[in-house]
Amino acid sequence: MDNRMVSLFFLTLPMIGVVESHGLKQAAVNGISKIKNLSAGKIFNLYLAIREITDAMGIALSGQVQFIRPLINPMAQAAASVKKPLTDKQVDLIKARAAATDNFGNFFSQNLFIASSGVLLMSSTMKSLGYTATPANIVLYSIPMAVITFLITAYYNRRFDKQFEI
Amino acid sequence: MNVNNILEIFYVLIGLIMVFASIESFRDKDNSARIGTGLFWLIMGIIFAVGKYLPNLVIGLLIVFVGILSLLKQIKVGKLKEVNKEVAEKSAKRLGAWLFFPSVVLAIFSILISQFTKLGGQVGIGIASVIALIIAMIISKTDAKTTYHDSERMVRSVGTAGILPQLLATLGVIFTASGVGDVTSKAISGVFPAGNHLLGVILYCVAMVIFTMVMGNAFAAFAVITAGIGIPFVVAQGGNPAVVAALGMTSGYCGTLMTPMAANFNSLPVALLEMKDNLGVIKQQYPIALTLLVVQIILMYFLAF
Repeated sequence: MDNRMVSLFFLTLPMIGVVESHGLKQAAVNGISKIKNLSAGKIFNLYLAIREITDAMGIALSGQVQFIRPLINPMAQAAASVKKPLTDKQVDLIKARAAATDNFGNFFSQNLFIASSGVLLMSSTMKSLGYTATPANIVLYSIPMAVITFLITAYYNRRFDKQFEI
Repeated sequence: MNVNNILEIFYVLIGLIMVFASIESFRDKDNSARIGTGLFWLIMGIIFAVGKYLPNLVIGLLIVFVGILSLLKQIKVGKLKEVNKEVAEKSAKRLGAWLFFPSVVLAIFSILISQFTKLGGQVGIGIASVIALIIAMIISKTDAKTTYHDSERMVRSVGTAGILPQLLATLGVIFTASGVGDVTSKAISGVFPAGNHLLGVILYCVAMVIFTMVMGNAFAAFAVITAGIGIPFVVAQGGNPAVVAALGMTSGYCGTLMTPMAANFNSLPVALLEMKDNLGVIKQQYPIALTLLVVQIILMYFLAF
C-alpha cells in the first residue's frame, strides 16, 4: 500500500533552507530581544504566542537550543530579579518553566500546519485503517487545543510571576 | 492528468532532493560513515522517485539493507555546511519580517488548494511548496546553486528521524492487515462495553498518554493505540476520524510532557540550561498536561459525536 504521503513534508525543506540561510532565526531573535519591561511570565507568554504562530506556518524552530537557552531564560531571569535577587531554587524554576513553555507551544500548535509530518501521519494512518481524515480537517480540529493550550498556559505563567513580587 | 500522476511528480521531486543529500553525504570527508549515509539517502531517493516501477521484492530488500546500515551505525548526519552568520545577520536586517512570507504562502496555498479545488490536500501541499520556494528564492535573491545547498543541508539535518513517520505509518498498515484492532477490541470489550461513547473516548485518550509515556514517542503510540482502541471504541461507534486523530495525537503529547523517556524535550533542556533538578521540566509540565488531557477528553466527546 502506498503511504509515501507521510513524507510529503520533505518538499517544504528547500524553502525553509533558503529562508534559514537568509536569517530567519536572526529575524526572530531581533524581534524578541526588542521586548522591554515585561515580567518573566509575560515574556514566556509572548514567546508562547510566537512559537505557536511560527509552528502553524511550518517553521520548526529548535526552540530549546536557539531561543530558550540564549534568549528567553536570561531575559526571564533578569526580569524576575528586579525586585529582589533570585535564590538558586528560583533560578532552576525559571529555567524549567522556560523549557516547559517551549514544549507547550511546540506540541499543541505543530498540527496547525497542513504539511507537518504529524498531520500527514494521522491522515495516512486513518486511511490505512479504512477511514478518511483529510489533512485540512485534522488541521481544523487541532485549532481548539492550540487556543486552549495558549489560554491555560498564559494563566499558569502569570501566576508564576507572583513568587517574585514583594 | 489525474491526481495520482501529479502526485507522482512530487514524489520524484522528493527523490531528487534526497539524491542531492546523498551526493553531499558521499562528498562529506569528515563523516566517518559517509558511504553508509550516502547510500541511505540514495536508496531513499530511488524508492521515492521510481518506487512505483520497482517490484515489491526489490523495495523490500532495499529497506532491509537500510535497516542493516542503521544497525551498524553507518548512517550519521555528518558535518553540515553551517549557515554563514554574517550573511544571515545582514539579510535578516534587510528582509526582516519578509523572511516569514514564504511560509505564510505555503500554509495558506496548501489549505486553499485542498479546500477549493478537486486536487486534494496532498497535491495542494506539493504545489504550495513549489510556489513558496520560488517566492523565497525571489525575495532573498538566491541562485540555484545556493538553493541546492540549502536543500541538501535541510534534508541531511532531518536525517533518519525524517523517515521515522514513514515507517510508523507502515505499522498502521500491518496492524490493519493482521487484525490487531479486532483482537484488542474483543479482549477489552469484556471489561469495557464498546457502545459507550464517553468510556471509549476516555479509554483511547488515556491509553495514548500511557503508551506514549512508555515509548517516549507519540507518533509510535498513535499507530498502535488508534488501530487497537481508537478505531473499535470511538471511530467505529460513529466518531469523526479527523477529530479522533487530532485530539488522540495531542493526548499522546500530554504523555510526552510527563515522561523522562522523551529525552529530546525533557532531558535535553536540563543539560542545555544546566539545571540542578533532573526532573525540573517535567515537574513544571505535569499540571498542564493533566489539565489538557481532561479538556481533550471533553472536546473529543462533544466534537466527535
